[in-house]
Parts: sequence; structure tokens; C-alpha cells
Amino acid sequence: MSQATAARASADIGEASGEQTAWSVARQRLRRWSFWLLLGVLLIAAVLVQLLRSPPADREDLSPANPAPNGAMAVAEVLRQQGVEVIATDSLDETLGALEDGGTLLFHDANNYLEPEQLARLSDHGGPTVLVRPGFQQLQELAPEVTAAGRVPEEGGPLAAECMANDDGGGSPAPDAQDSVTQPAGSISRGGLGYRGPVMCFPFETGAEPAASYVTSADGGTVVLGAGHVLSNEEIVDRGNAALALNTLGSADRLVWYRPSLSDLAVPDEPQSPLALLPAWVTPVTLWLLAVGVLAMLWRGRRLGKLIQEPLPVVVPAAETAAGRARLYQDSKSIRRAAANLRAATLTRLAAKLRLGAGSSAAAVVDAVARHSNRPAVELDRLLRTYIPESESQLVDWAQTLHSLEKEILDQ
Amino acid sequence: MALTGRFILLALAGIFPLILFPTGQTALWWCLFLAVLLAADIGLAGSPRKVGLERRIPSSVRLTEECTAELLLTNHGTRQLKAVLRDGWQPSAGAVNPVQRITIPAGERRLLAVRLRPERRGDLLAHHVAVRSLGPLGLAARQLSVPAPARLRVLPPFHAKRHLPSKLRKLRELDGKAAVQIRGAGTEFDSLRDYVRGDDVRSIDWRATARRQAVVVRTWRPERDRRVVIVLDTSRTAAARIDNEPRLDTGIEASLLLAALAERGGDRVDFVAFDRRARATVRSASKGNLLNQLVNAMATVEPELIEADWSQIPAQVHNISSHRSLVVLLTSLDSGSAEESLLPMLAQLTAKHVVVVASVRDPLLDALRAERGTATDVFRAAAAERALLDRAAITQQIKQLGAEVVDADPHQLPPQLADTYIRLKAAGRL
Repeated sequence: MSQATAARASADIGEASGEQTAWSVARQRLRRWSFWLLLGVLLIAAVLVQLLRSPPADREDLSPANPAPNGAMAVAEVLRQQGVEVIATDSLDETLGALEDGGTLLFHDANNYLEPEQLARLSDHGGPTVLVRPGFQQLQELAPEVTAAGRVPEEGGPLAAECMANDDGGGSPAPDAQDSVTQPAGSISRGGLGYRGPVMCFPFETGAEPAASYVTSADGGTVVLGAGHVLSNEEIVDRGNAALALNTLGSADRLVWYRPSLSDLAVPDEPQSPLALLPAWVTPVTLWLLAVGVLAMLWRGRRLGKLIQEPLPVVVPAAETAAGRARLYQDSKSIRRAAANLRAATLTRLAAKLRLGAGSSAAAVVDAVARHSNRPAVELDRLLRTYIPESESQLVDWAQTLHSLEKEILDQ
Repeated sequence: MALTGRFILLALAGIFPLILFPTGQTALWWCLFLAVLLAADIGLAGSPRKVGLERRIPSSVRLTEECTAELLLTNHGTRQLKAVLRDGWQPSAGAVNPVQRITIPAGERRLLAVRLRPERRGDLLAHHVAVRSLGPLGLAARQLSVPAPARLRVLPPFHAKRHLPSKLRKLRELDGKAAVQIRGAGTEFDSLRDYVRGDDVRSIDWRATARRQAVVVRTWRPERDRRVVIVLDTSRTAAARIDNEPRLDTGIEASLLLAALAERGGDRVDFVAFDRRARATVRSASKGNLLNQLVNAMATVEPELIEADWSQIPAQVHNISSHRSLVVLLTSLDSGSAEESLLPMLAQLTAKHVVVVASVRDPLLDALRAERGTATDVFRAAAAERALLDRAAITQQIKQLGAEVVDADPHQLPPQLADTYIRLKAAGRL
């Protein structure tokens, strides 16, 4: 009988769970998670749109497209307004193509991307060239007469526009061509790098030979601008910086502003990283092991069945109220109250032990205790009745004495 | 769906072809190989949806005892079911082997025995059985939590049972049934018997002696069919733990011992667990084994986090018995909660009934008050002394109201309450 009902019950269970197929469960889960899925998709979409819409802002030093304080957009824009065609380029081939029609070349390669061969190709162009803060190799290829002279010392005022020809250490005055470019500036703000060359303008004091932050070759075709900061948006308005920048760069009606980029890097032929020396299977096997690791996490992380809940009982130690009261006594330094408690409890117990009855006075208890112990009555009276501790240490001493007396009497 | 360790090993084996042919294509082919095996294995696994479940649970089990919950699984599908099962008992049910492997051919039935060692009194639940059905290759499994509700009632342990024989002997001595030197205490005439040396001469029945050759004494027995009403407080104070046992559990132990004793003593026992309303009731009028009914009623009683409403108790007791009864209140004597409502009610109750207030005393307080090493210790001792003094004051007040007080450590409370019952019975105060 019970077997039959049991069979029916289990059949019911079978049918009831049969309504829930794997597909319906999958659909249910999808419905339950649909909000989060949608949210995730929207988030990813928003991030993608944001990335695609705004190209990465130009934050490079002295870039003609950078409006930030360290950029040089201001000078480029002013040049354009003055009718100079400013062409910003970032690869050697593009630059050489732009220079076929003539014009001034501004070369600024702070990261030293270009190899000597590439620099040589660049030097083949015949027009006027402005080198902004060139490095050693750039100088060698593009302006061999100029040498670097380190940083401009920070102390001192602005640099004055004095030009001089450097004929083997002599100090003869410079040609007029340079004066016409530099004199309108008057002075420029201090900073940047110093160089030595055939014609030096804006000199600064050094320990040894004179050096300047604006050096040109003997024929004036190549200008080495150590004071690159005069082009920056931040400092272009200071002193004669603007005049110097515009006079230097605006001499022709075309300006090719070349800032080498990663695309100029020559791809090396030989393997450079030690990873490339490893056998070919290392990378795929590593990736495969990572994937297997993820699978193993799925394997170990799968719980067997739903979570099971356990209602937990309230746990309240009964002595908690006493402990709380003790902390209150201690925090408020209620030494007298604590002493009164201890005294009352001891007297009660002693009275019960000595069969004095509940209503007996403290004096009666002291008398009875004096009869039962060998201690003098005066000391007992002080201990049990009159003494009031004033500090914690006194309280501890007194409480211990009280306890030992009590034990002595109760253990009799 | 779930993966198995075998699948992970197979995936790991993919590094050998990758070492031999280190290209992306090898990886793709191996992935395809794995995916095909996975799909085939899951497709061929027996459906966990076609498992019929039937439970056989023991009706109840005492705490600290072990029992076996049986699970009958029927495979209604057409394929063999090779599965790992987990019986979803809650942790305090203490399942020893909840996870088991089982193989059931199509259309057959198997029994799964799960041993349970409950760790908590009350109703323990299982909601589901998780079935992880493995495929023939053992690479992957279909998993489902099949609802299979079950309930195991765990009864209070009744450790105090060990005191029962000695208390019963005492009761029999009262009854005059045991061989004792004194006559049976009590006021109800029981029988006449021959005088034996040592009997009280005052109990000699001279009229019966005259009729016979030998001296005959009267024996008395204690009153029977008196009423004992046990009121167990289940309010917030019952949740407090003393010696890592809630006050309520100690109260249950004491109630059970008292009830067992009073039943053997021929009295009628009623029980009510009360805070603001009756949480459990056992009436003496009902049929069946009293102890069984009691443990069943007590099994699910839990402390409620509310204040007890003692003003209703006289009415409750009157409902149970309009006659004079022994009313045993199992509660706490903390100052504050007791003063406000317990004391005013006691005066009403003692006017009509014999009242015993039984409470658990915290041995930790006695330990705290003797500890006087540092300032913190002394303050703690002072606080403990204050608690004990308050308690003594309340005890005094209760005694003045005419009620008895039993105040004892957790393991001492049941025997002491039984002793009080025997004393009252001997004195004929019931």
C-alpha cells in the first residue's frame, strides 16, 4: 500500500520535473540575467564609441597640433595666419616629398628615432633647416660645424640677442643676416640647450669657451635652436620669444614641421629579444596551459547543487551584562560603588556563614568575625566597614584582603 | 553542466600535439576534438530530470544519536544513470556521507543511505538532491538540483534521564512501596499491614489489631492525581547561554525530568511554553505517552527575541487547571526583567497554587567574583557581586511572596527541581 503511494508520488515528481526541460531552464536563466547582460553590452558599446569618437589627443612636446602648454600649436597657427604653409609630418618619406617643393625644414627628434643613414638622407635637402634641440648624432649629420655645449645654466636673466662669429675662438661681429633675424627679438627667456658653432646668438656665460642657444652655420642655412622652449605655447608670449620664433620659421612661405615617429624606426633584421630564441612551441603551449588552467578552475569551482542555508541561533553569553557593567564601572572610575558592591556581598556571605540572619548589621558581623578569626577587631572593622579605597591600586589591595578574609572564615 | 578531472587531463594532453606541431591550427583541431567529445558525452549522459526521488526519514531522532535517512532513486529514463549525488541536508543535520556515487540501470531503483548525526534540536530540513549525471566517457556531466523536501525532527537529548532512577527510588520510598524503616509519608490512607520492628508505634491501628492476633499498622501514601503545571519561559532571556547551553535547553531538561518523575508519581502533568503566547502545549488530558508528546512539543521551541508577558500566566494556568496545582515556572531571575512583571504576577499565583520558580545560575559569575588580580578583574568582580546581590534580592522577594525558588548551575538544575518536587510531595503540600 505504502509502496504504491510512494510509486505514485515519485511518478509525480518525475512528471513535475519533466515539465522543466533543459531548454526552458536555459531560457529562464537568460531571462533572469538579461538585465545584467544588457547592461554589460551597453557599457562595452559606450566605451567603444568613446574610444572611436575622440582620437588620442596630441600631448607631444612642441607638436604643432598640441594646444597644451608644452605644445607649439600657437606658433604654427600664427605662421599659418601670416601666410606660411605649415605642413606637419611624421615620417621621413613624407617629409622628403613635402620638401621637393622647397621650403624650410623644422626638424625636432627628441627621441632620436632616426638612424644616421636616415639623417643623411634628410641632409640632402638643400633648403634652410631649423634643428630644434638636436642630439649628438643629429648634429653630426645635419650640422657638423656645431657642437653641443650642455644645458643653459638656470641662474641669470634672459638671454640678450647678441650675435658673434666664432672664428677659431675670436669674437668678431656676426653677419647682418643673422642680426636681422635675432635683433627684433631683443632678448629671449632663459632655458634649453647650449651649442657652439660658426655664428652664435643669445650667448650665455660658461666657464670655458662661449656658447649660445641659437647657433647657425657659417652660411646661415642651418639654424640650431637650443632654446626650443621659445616655440612652446606656454612661453611664446614671453619677451622676444615670439619674434625669434616667427622670424626663424617664417623666412620662407612653406614650413615642413618634421617630428619623426615610430614609423621611422628601421625594423631590425636580427632577433633582438631572447624570447625569439626559444623553440616555436613555447608560446602556444604556454597559452594552452593558461586555457587549461581556466578549465580547471571551472572544474573545481562548480558547486554540487544549490546553496543550502542554515538558520543560525542567537548566541548571547549570560554573563555579558555583568561584563558590560564592569566596563562601565571602570570607565567612569566608580571605585566607591565597586567597593560598596564587594563589601555588601562579603558581609552577606559572612552573615550567612556565621548564622546571623539576613537583617543583621555590619557591626554585628564584624563582632562575629572577630570572634571566629584571630585578627584584631579594629583591623576587621576597618576592613569590613570604614575603609574606602580612593584609587584603583588601593581597591585591588583591599579587594584581595577582603577575599582572603572571606575564604578564611568560610573555609573554617 | 559540469566538467570532470578526466576532461581537464584530456585538455592537458593537448600540449603533446602542440609541441610536435606548434601552430594555431593544432590548437584549433584539439579544441574541436574536445568540443566533440564534450558534446557527445553530455548528450549520452542519463537525464537527471528523469530521476524519481522518494525519501524515507525516521520520524524523529534524539539529539546526539545517529540515524539514517534513506533516499530511493528510480531511473525513469532509457539510459543508464551514472551519477554523483549530494543530499541537500542543512549543515547542522551533520550528514556524514552526503555525497555519494551511484549507478542505476534504466528503469531500476537504488537505495542511498545517508547517515545523519544532528547537531541541533528542532526541525532540520533538506530541500533538494543535486544529481550530477556523468556521461559514458566520464568527461562531463549534466547537473540538476531536484527538489526533494524532507524534514527530520530532532528531539531534545534528555541527558537528565540519568537522574531519573535515583529520584524514582526516593519517590517509591515516599510511597511506602520500598522497604524502608519509616512509614509512608502522606495523608491518604493506603492499606493495613503487619507491624514490623521499627514501625512508628503511632501508626498502629488498634481496632484492626484487636480483630487479629498480630499487631497491624496503617500505611499512608502520598496524594495522587495532583496537578503539575510546567511553564517554560521562551522569551529573550531564554536565549542567553550559560556554560555554552541556552537557558531554554536547560529548562527543557529540567521540565522533562520533572514531568517523567511526576507522571510516575501519579500526578497529572501539563506543559506550556510561553512568552507572549503559548508556543507549545501538552495537556495531561490527551492520550498517549506523555514524555513522547513532551519531547515532540519541545523539539521545535526556540527562544523568541521578545519580552515575556507574565500577566497572562495566571489565566493560562487557570485554563489548564482550575484546581490547586503545583506551578513550576522555568525562567531567569535577572534583575529588571523579573522585577517588572514576574513579581506582581506571582502574588496572584501563589494565592491559589503552590509555585516553584526555577532558574539557571551562571557559574561564570561565581568564577568572576573570586578573580581579583588586577583593577579590571576587581571591577568585574564588583559587577558580578552586584548581579548576584540583585539575584539574591529577587529570590528573597519571591520567597516572601510564598513561592519556592530553585537556583542552580545548569547541570544541577534538573535534579534539584526534582528534589524540590519530592520534598513538596512528601510534605503533602501538593
